Amino acid sequence: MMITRDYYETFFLDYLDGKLEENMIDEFLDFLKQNPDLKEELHLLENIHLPEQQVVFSGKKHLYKSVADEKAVLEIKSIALMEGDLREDERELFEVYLANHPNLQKEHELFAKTHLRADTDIKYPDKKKLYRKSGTAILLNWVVSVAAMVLIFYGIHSVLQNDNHNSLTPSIEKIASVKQESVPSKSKNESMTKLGDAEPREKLANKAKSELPGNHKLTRAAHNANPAIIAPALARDLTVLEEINPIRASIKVDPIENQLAEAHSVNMKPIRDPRKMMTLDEYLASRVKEVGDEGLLSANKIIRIGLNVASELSGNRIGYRLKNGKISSLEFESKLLAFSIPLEKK
Amino acid sequence: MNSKEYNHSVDLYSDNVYRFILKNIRDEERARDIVQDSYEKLWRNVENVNSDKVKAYLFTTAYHTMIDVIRKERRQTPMDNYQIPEDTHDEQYSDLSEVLNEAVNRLPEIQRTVILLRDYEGYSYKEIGECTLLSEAQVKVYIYRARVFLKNYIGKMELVV
Repeated sequence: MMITRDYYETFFLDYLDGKLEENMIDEFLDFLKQNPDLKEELHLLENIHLPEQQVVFSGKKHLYKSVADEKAVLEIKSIALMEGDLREDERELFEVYLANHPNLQKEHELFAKTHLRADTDIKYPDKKKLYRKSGTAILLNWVVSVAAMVLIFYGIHSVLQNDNHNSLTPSIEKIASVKQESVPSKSKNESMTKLGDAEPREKLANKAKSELPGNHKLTRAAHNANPAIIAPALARDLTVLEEINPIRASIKVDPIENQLAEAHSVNMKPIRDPRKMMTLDEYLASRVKEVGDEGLLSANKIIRIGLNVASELSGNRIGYRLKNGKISSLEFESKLLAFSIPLEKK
Repeated sequence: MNSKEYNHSVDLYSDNVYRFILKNIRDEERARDIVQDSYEKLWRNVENVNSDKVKAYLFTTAYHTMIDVIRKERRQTPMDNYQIPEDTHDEQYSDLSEVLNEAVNRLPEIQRTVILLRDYEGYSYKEIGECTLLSEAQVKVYIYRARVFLKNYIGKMELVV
């Protein structure tokens, strides 16, 4: 490589350090002759020398290591090993270090024991409270709840109505039995049994009217037997009461019972044939059968109940048409608007 | 995150969060409340929480709720001498886990939290830092101190036994 004015510093430093190659010395001297200014620069560099100084590090004692320091190293390294913070080469070095210091082995083992393990027997007890339902599930639940409530209400209502009808039969039978007690003739027995079975209120009233005036003993006996039942029954026709024995007139009749008797007699009207009436057990069995035919929570049933409820709440007619037991179309009718939505697939 | 994923997170993490909180505060009723509260918060933010981050979200929320509860309690009943002195070892232990349990109970609160997250949940320093709002270096230091404390406690117990 040629020495030039652009590239001479390296050769100067090598010359000063005595490291300039021999074959370059002649060329180097020629370069100095040709460039006297650089020769002067070289002489200046020759005279620059830093004086030697005696500097002593005073903190050496802090750098010395003791057994305690070995322990500290052990702690750091042991923990780092546990936590997986050591590189492979560091881990190997530490294992060698441990092998050379058996007195530290026990300490290292103690560190290994500090790893905690979760007690899996501890479970969160109220998990059910944390679960959430989606909007659809909530809506479905709501619909099912409403449907169930409507069904229960309807069931209770039906049972109560049926119970009310059933309660009429014993009343009639009681009246008949009282009459049987006081008028033991065969013909009357037969007629009263018929009455107890199926005769309407008007017939019963006419019979009572024809029998009561002529039989004071019967009336008195009947009152003695069960005034709570007989009095309301007799009170149905006040004109008859006026014509009987004064003893009858002196009896005070509770007006509420009169009303009840009247109410019972009104309810008796539509019951033409009590033999067709169902007992509570029969009614419940029939309801179960009805429910069983369609399913307690079938989609159609829920929809129908929901439509009925919506119709009741809105005051508008919301109806449906059934075809083969399935809802074929929905109908809406209000004062302003009426339309029908077919649901059947073509 | 949807409700199905939320419910799955209940199955996956409610026990872990409960265990973590219970170990920290040692009060079952409060731990239950904190877990419930954390899941309430998760449900309120269910749209914004990624299902991959749900565990971290739950632990972070539970941890901060727990800190709030502890601070509130301390305001009500000041505890100057919170930590039990180290050299009172009157208890009798049958095995290492009992000794460790006792030692963990004696750890300072923050050390206990980080070491539980580290050992129970296997969280990294970074994850613990994110959960507890500490730097990784701080987490390392607390774990280091906790390990040394536990090691010394076990050592002393072995000497006593």
